[in-house]
Amino acid sequence: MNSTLRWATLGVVAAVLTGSAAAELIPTPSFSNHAVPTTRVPVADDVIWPLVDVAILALALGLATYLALVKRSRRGLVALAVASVLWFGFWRQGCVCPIGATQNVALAACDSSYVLPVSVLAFFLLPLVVTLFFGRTFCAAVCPLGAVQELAAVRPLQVPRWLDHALGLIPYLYLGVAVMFAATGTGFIVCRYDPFVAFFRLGGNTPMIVFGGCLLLLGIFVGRPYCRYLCPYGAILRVLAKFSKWRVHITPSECINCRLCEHVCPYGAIEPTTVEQPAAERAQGRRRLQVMLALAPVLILTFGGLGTLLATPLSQWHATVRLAEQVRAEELGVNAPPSDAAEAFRTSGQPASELYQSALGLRDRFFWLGGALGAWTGLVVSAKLIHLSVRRRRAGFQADRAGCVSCGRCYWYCPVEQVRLGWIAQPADAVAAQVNAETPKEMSA
Amino acid sequence: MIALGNHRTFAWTALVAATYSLVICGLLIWDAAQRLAKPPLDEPAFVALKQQLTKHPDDAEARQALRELDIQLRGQFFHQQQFTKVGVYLLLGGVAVTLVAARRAAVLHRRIPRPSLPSAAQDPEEPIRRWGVAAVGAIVLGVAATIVLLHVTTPTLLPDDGDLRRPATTTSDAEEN
Repeated sequence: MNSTLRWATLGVVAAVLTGSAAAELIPTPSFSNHAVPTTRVPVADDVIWPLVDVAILALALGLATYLALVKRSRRGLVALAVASVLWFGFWRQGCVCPIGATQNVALAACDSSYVLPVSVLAFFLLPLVVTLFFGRTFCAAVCPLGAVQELAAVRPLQVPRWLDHALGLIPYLYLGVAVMFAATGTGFIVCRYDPFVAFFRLGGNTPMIVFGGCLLLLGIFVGRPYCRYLCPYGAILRVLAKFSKWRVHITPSECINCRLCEHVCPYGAIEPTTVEQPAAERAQGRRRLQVMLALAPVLILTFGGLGTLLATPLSQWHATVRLAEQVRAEELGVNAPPSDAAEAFRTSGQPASELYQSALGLRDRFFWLGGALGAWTGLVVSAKLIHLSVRRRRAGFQADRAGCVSCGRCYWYCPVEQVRLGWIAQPADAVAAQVNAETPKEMSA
Repeated sequence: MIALGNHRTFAWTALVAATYSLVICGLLIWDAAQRLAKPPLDEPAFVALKQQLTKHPDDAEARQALRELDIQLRGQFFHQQQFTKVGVYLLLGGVAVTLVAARRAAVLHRRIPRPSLPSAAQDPEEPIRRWGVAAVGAIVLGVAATIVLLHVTTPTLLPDDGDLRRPATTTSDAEEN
């Protein structure tokens, strides 16, 4: 039955992919008495709406923090996740988006002519501030992308933690590329390749619908694949969450080392109790750390150099360089179908040499930016290797500050929490209570 | 006892909702495939009328027939689009019911975790550290290989800076001449 259920669910989520892709073909008006409507410029949103959006985001963040840290209610968090998907996802169509706002902030920082709306700045900053104090409660139930994956996680399995560490590097690299492209005015790739926005808008381009559908399918068995292995904003939140003062504590008092939380967390975000190491192993660990520290500048410089090789591929994402390449290809008679953009450029009367100069200028810029991106990659990899080499002492099972998305799954399983809630008299009764008792309300979430 | 009856109810609900969603999905795919395979403006009658009008531009009857057919084809197209839109909503409802029922069934059928007790001698982080470093190494190699591959496989046709300093013969200049 489980297998049937799993496959049926897989099939249904796959269905979403294809359905919304159907409305793409719009015939070009050619010959009819159809009156072509006058182009109307949409009226800008009232000043009040951005304020309402910011207020609702702040309210949702406050509520998520309260439910995760004070109330410790998984059920409440799931309810809030549903509300977030409906409001921020389907109603606001994914536009109240701190993830995308990262790019607006990057562009505003590098281009003085770009005016950053205050509401967008607030979208970007509010979750960061909350994370700095309370951990990733934004990811728990406010972010519609995280919420939709949380709801899709029907049978989440655990990814080996070593693999989790390695794949966790990808968001930092993606963040680097996204900031670079946004800062140079090349494009907002996080928005362009947002896998779930097409679902929220009930339509979009087919490859992204397929990609989003695949992520959702994967999300049935691997908890939050986008949040953990792609989300660039999540990468920033991971760093800030390390410094959070108040955050998720699995057990309300002393940990009894039962390992139940570690067993049920689908995000690999539980750090186990450590054991005392012999002196020889400690010495080996110290040597390993020294090697990693020595390796860090080498990696940064090597990747910095390698990154400069990306000047041409990266620059070709920029519209000006693409146009210059197209014009040049047509000029040389290289196998390139004529494009409207090149035709429009030629009609403008601007000399092609000016276009080439500006494209070459951009390529030079991307030479240095590619180097910076490479150095960033080296830095991220070095930090991860050093992190893996440092041994920390822990007396009980703890939520990993960076990786914990405050979903609240571990609360229900913690026997000490069950004692606090009055379900059982002592932690040892926990297993018996779970087997014999009716399913408690909180579990049903 | 965990209520298995309830589990079955939810599992069956999920199954029925999934089947319903699959049917809707199949219909949508079929509809989309039909539309993509047969663009309305490629309708043989429409094309024939257009050709006829090109040959005889003053044929008022053909012009009127073409206009009427055009409106009819457009009407059909937008009617089909509306069908898709309704289908997407039905599909969304089906998926929502499937997910809710499947989650509920999974919760009711949840097995009690029985983890072994942590060993006092074995450091649980040691294998993570060892394999983690190896996996990060693999990612590093992958990234480096990707960079080199992108560099090698991305051609550029742009002239060198030196070439641009010489008097350039551009398309627009050529057109002026």
